[in-house]
Amino acid sequence: MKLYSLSILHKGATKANLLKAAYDLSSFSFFQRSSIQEFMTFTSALIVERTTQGSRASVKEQDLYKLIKKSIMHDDCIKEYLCHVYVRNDNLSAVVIADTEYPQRVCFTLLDKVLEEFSRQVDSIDWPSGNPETINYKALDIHLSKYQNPREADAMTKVQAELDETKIILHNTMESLLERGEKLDDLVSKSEHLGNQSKAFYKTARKQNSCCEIM
Amino acid sequence: MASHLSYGRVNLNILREAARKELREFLDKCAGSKAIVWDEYLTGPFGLIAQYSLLKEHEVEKMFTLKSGRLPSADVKNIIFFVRPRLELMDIIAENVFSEDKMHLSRDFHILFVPRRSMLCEQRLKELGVLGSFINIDEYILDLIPYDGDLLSMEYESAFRECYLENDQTSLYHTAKGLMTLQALYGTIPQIYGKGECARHVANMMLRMKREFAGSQNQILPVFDTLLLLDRNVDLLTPLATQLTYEGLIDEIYGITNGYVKLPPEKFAQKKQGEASKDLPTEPKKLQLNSAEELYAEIRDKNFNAVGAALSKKAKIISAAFEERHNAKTVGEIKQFVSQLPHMQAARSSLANHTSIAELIKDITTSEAFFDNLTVEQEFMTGVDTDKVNTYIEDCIAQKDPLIKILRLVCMQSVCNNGLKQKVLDHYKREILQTYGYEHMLTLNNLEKAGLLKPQMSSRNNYPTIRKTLKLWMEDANEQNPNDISYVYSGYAPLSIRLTQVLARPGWRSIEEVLKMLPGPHFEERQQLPAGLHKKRQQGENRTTLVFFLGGVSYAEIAALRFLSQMEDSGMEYIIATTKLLNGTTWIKSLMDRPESQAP
Repeated sequence: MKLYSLSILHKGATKANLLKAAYDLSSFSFFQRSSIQEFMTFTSALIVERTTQGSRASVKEQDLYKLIKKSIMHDDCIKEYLCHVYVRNDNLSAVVIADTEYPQRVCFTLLDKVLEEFSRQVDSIDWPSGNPETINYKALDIHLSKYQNPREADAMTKVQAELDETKIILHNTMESLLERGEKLDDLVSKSEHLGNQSKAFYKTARKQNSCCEIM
Repeated sequence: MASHLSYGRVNLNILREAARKELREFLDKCAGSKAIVWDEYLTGPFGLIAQYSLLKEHEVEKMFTLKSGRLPSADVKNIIFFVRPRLELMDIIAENVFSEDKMHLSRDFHILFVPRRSMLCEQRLKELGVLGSFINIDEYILDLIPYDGDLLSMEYESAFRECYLENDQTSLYHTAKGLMTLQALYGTIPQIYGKGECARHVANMMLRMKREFAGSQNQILPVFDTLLLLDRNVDLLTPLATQLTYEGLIDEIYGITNGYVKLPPEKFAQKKQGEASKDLPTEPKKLQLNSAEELYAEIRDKNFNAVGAALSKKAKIISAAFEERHNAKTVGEIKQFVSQLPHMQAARSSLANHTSIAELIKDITTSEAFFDNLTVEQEFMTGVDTDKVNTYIEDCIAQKDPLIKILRLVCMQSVCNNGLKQKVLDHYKREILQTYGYEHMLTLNNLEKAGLLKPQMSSRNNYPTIRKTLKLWMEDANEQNPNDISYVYSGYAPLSIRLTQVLARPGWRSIEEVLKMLPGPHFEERQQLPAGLHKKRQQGENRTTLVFFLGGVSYAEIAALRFLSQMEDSGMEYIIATTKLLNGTTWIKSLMDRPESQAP
């Protein structure tokens, strides 16, 4: 699983304004990288424009990609991407483009974290008009590279993953434990069989009151 | 702590703890490491009081069975003999002691007589020259042993025989002593009712013993309101009939001793997936049966025909509980499920065991032989042709069916007919002796002496009157949802239990006539309680009656009493005590004699 880009934008009235971006294009061939980067920048802005204030979304990029399907890339480079976007109530937004394997929850955690840090470091007055050169925020690259491994970066993912593993082990152990001993289905059918065809013990006396009892 | 003893209204654990305490005190008297040499007969009852772990706590390192010859070697300071006061055992002990001297090991010897010391035995030891070798000679008064929360037994096998054949009232003395111990722990019993000669003797002894202790007043708030003493010979019919409760049938077919049953192992082999059934266990499967096992407590007293449905229901409940594991998604839920797992595993294992046992029993109860036998029993109980030679019995003798089966049937016919016509009796006797051997003459004599198989004295047969007045035969007994105690024999209400039932309500005055037809006096006694100990009865609170069967009681009768206890409007709870837990087979066996054997 991989993260490809991480960008911070400001959602303006009509347009989204890119404030800072970080890219990891090491998985693409050298010659394609610049066009891909452009493409991702464009997509990020587009998504922010389309996302309402105060919401999060995950957009399967294939649809968007079809719109822009000029021969920027060769067909064999077509991959599936997911864009995760978070537009805050104050219009500060972040977009991370990842592959489909990357867990969604971690992305949103990342976006929350990045935006919070950014909003503390960079004055809100600079948001509507800033651009990557003017904005003084250096941590984006670090975050992008750190979060390439979601487990390490995100404590909760790590614990959740271990938990899920443990649950599976527990379930398997329980199953094998319950296998031992008599099969319950056998017991259910055996006991039903016992319940049926039980001839009553009384009224076996065939001769009743057949002779007078002399008192 | 035996949890199943605390369930009932009366906490019998107190009795058990008292017994354990005494045992501990004795063991501590013999300081140092010990080895116990057991009279085999005692290991069973003792197992109900103390396990090996308790003995180990008091430095018991080895245990041996009492055998003649040399004692096995053991590196212990003390050798303690746990024995009944019987002369033949004294001889064996003497042998053991003499063999020791030769080994020049300095060990201390002690004897613990259970349940009483005996001058005769000590005299014997003196004659053999070993009395001086014993440092501690004590008695361990083990009379009534708690078998379950509502059941006490002395496991005194020969009580009936001693009382009715040999005119030996030792067992009655022990009974009275046991009742005094009980009163010391649970308070003086204010009301005593009884029916029968032996009952009268026991009551007299109790009153006398109470007078002897006149100085010390018992300050315990009485737990028991009433004591009912019943002679076995007031109701000779019930033990002869084949029991039809689950526990009763287990006892009839496999025998329950000291709360354990040994079963053929084949059905209990763990079947693994796909494995052929090789390596079948050869050891009989031993199971403990008491009310600590939830499922067993539910089904033990049911008529056997209702057990299948109960097991089926339980199987579905357990199955559903196991399926719950698929609903456990969160870790919290899984944790909760897992914590229930041991209980569920135990429930499943219990279900598997009892399903197997029920299958084993069903094989027998659905056999033609069983039904034919039951038919004849029911014919006798309803008074059909009890004055003629019964052709089924004749056929069985001709086929050389087990002798005890024959004896049960002929005795039943005799009891239901108030003795057999001389011609009929002679016919049976002849057939039996010619088929099974003349040595059984002694047994037949014993049965006559006990009143089980006797010639008709007067032409009057009281049994039909008793049956009608006390409603001993109930048509259409409901086996699944019983409303009367007659379900335990699918139609026949045990006479002993009916008497108990009537005593509670409306009282024995209403059946004076019938009581006179039954052997032995009936009486009522009151014991004074110290001032201030009279129980104030709360509204709706049940009274507690201790019913003591002198001569033995069957599991079906116990089931019937439990049924009475849980009836809505009975207002009474019953605790059962007896000299011995028996069934028709073990009872007749105790009366059998062979010419060459000594009296048991």
